[in-house]
Amino acid sequence: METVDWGYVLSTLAIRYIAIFMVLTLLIILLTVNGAIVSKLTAIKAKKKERPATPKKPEKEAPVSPRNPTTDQITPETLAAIGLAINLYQNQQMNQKTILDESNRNVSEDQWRLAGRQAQWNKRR
Amino acid sequence: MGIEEFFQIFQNIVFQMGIVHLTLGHVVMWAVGLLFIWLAIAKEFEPLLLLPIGFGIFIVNFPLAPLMDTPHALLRVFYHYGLEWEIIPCVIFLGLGAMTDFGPLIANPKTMIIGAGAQLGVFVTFIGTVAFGFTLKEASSVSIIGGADGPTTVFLTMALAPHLLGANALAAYSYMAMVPLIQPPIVRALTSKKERRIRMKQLRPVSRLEKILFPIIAFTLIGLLIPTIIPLMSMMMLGNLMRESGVVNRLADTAKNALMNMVTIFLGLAVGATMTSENFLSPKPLLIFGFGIVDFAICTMGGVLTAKIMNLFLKDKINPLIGSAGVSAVPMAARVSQKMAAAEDPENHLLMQAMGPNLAGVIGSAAAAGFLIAMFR
Repeated sequence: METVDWGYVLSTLAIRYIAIFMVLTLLIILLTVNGAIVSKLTAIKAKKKERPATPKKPEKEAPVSPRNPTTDQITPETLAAIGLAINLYQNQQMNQKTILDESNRNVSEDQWRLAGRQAQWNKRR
Repeated sequence: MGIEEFFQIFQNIVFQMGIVHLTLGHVVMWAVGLLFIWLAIAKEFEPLLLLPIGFGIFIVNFPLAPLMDTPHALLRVFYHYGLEWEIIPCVIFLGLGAMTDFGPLIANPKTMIIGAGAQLGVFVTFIGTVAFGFTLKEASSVSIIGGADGPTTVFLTMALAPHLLGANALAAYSYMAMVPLIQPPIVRALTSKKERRIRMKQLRPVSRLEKILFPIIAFTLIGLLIPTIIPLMSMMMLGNLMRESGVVNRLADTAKNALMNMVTIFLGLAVGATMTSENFLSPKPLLIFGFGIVDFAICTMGGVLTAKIMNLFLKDKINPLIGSAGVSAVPMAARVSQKMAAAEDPENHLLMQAMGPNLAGVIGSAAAAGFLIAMFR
């Protein structure tokens, strides 16, 4: 069995344990510095992108179209959708007025009757 | 042919059969091998390694099996080229690097100190094992088990005490699988409820450039300070650079999947193959298993205590639960921290913060191994 120099073993172990801390602390410092540099570079790049290097010449204004720009931008599909929405809204108003009007509050709330009344009203229309 | 000649041939045939040479030691080792296979299949304890290791133990303990006895025997070839040449641990580190996102560590580098603190057990166990009659080289190889890093344990053991490879690797991988059982009671005993409920600041986003620069910076530093560990760290950082660069996805994918899986098979079989009844059935492997668990517990304590000491100086407090992740069982130890934090406060998500010390633990245990190799080779 080999003889152990405990003094040497303990001291070298302690030093090496501390050395691990030192190595990783150095790595922390390097990573922190690296992080700071990279984020600064990124910020500078982002600023450059936001602010162009040379001021742009004012662009010539495009000739104004004689047509009405607001109605030109609306497609026929959008127009149809708006029309449908208005129609539906009006119908709903009418239905509410007839079926759930204050004057009809005395009518029984029975579901069958209510449905029948609505069907009749729709036929009349 | 005379009757005597007939009996001679018959005797030869019988003696060429394994069953005649079967000993109690062989049968005990079959039981050990089958136990690890059972643990892998039924309990799912590190199945990727324990299954081939268990099977390796099982097959190598068949009498007269031509697996390890000659230089060209199958498992001897795996062992020679994979482990004696120290190729397999390095290739596994390549895969680990390709798998690992170091973002949480880069975002909060001060957690690296926890990774260093968690190496406490390595040095304490070293003293204990020497006191129990292990040689300095053997003690180094046993003490690294607590670092909870399989490939580092294999690398160091092959460098200093190759005859202990089987027991050391088996202890390291078994205890890694048992992290969820070993760590929680130790951490609970060392922390108060209030400390376990500490909420940490969300990590900052890490840019791609930082992630690309990390392997180069880390390797330059570690390579200059601990050259003995260059084979492991260089491979790990190469794998990570392949991953983060994004230009060699095919290589990164191969390193972390196909290549890693292949070498895992060879590693498992080669480690298992070293565990013959002559090598394993002695008091040393039992002592190694005993010291392994003590080592693991002290490493966990070291991580938690380091986090608590750091809290004395930090403005933004660290939840000491992430201290236990300083042992490098990635990502199991980090998951344990997350689970314990969620048990105290379901809104407290610590996983990403715990990944920092967890990855630092990998670097820390490799550094500890490097120092031990430099000291005793």
